[in-house]
Amino acid sequence: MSLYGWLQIVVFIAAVLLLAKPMGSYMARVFERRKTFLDPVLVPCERLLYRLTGVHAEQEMRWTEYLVAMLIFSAATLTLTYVVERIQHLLPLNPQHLPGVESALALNTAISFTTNTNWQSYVPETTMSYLTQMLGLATHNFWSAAVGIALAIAFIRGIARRESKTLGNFWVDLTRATLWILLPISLVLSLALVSQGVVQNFRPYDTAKLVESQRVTGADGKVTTITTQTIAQGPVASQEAIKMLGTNGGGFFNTNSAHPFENPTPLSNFLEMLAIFLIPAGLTVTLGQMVSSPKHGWAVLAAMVVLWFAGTSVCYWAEAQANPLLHGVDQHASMMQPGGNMEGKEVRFGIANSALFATITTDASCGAVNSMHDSYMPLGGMVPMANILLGEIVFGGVGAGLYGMLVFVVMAVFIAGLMVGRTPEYLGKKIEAFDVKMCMLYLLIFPLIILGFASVSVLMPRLGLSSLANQGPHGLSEILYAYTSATGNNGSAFAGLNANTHWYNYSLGIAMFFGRFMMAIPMLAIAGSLAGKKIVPASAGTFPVTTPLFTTLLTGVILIVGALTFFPALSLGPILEHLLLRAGHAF
Amino acid sequence: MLDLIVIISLALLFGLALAYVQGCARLKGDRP
Repeated sequence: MSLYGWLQIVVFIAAVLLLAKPMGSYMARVFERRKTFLDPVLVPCERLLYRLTGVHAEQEMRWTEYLVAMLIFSAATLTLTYVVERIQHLLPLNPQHLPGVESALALNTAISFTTNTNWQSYVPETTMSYLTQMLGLATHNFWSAAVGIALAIAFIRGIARRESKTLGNFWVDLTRATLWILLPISLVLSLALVSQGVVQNFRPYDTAKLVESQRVTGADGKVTTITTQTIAQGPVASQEAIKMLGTNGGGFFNTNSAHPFENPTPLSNFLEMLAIFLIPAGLTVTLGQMVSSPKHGWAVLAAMVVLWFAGTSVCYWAEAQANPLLHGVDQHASMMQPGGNMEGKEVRFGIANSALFATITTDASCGAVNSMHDSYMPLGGMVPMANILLGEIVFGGVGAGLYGMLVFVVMAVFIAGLMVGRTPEYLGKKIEAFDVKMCMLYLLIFPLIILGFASVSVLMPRLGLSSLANQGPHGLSEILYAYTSATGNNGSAFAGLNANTHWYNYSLGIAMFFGRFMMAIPMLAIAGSLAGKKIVPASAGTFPVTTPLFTTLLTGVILIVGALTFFPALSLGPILEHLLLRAGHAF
Repeated sequence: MLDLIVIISLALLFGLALAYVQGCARLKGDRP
């Protein structure tokens, strides 16, 4: 670890905290339909959209109606993406003449992008045409992020409103999230990325002659001499911006943000990391403002920062360690080398920015990577996995992170109420049996899907182990990470596992679907329940949700729930691998 | 044929999600 490494981490979080308030205040204005500086341009567009689609903007929805609208929208856009993938060979903007995507893969990808997961069981530059990347995938980067924000805003309204049966209008929230928040910031960020060297064009791939030819041995033992290299390109910058801002994470290229055309410089890397946390951090301020308790928003943000810092520190420390199996190799940091574990990392980012990126991308449900998590030291690789296992609530995905965190807030308040023997209250709303039942549904579905599918994959070798590259605890980590990433709607891959098989395409698709919708449903049921309640005036027995004590309790509940649920699985994976590595075994 | 199976499977999955909404609503005592 180095001073410069820590300085970069500190500068990053300082930038996030500085931007949280203006971003959060702006989002509160957008969703409370107060005036913003973009209104002169966007209000006419908004009105036109409502007129074309027949949306009555003033019509409020109950929580069930809000959910049904969300499901209808998701089903329609999912089907669109599936169809575009299947018939891409018949559509324009396919200069490489790529064939239609195979059915199981197309389904997996359509679910993946609809659920904001962006798990990619394919190599994008050799599978998806430019039109599919833009119309099928990049559009989902906007839509799925806007759906997440809309759901979070509905939850906030549930807390803020009193004796109300409604939570707002899904179509209005979706439209305003897209027009006022995602599109303008993406536009600015795309141009900033282009200035750093991210490509944006519709050209066919270039072919370059290698300076030195290479001899490659194929799987059949046949030796081939390679003399040329195909250089993939395309409309990357426009997809890259929303990929980070919407915490989507699906790369235009297979190596994602490690590719020099997606993330060419340390500055582009900084901007991409900042974009991941921008909206999730801002939403905590939006929460505080919309529920008229700004300090509560800051208390929630504080819990996120504490958990982020713990993860970043452990990951950076683990990656800065020397690999004990590399005998006789100088792995100490010096003026000539960063030291530590540089395997799987880009030299232009180094260890600190790789560990930071890995932590950020898995705290949020982004899933973009600028280094390969599979090549991390066992404990370094455990951090990204543990971040997702906590429920993607450390900043989390746009919207999804906040509403996941608010479910934990309700649990924390409930536990505090149990400890002092009083009816739990959250910002004046009594937490009752139905709310806790929905919380438990939310919290139990997540491990059930991850551990259930991972168990089946491990116990049925023909299904789960046939495409696995590593054995032992590392192999288990690869399988566990895949289902964790899918269910948590993260989308990053640990690698080492070829998931483009029928079993993995279908099972991961189902995991992504359940991880998104089956968790959003009980969450919004809680919001609907809270909206209908009276506000009880605060008394001496009310547990304040604006203090460091609340932040500590919230952090403790998150860690305890996560640790109790997943510690056995982590023990058999990365923790065992760490111990065996120390004993001289590698997998 | 595969496409038909996929579309039917998706319809079933979203149908399940709608049934889930209805189940939660009933538990709460709301009109689904």
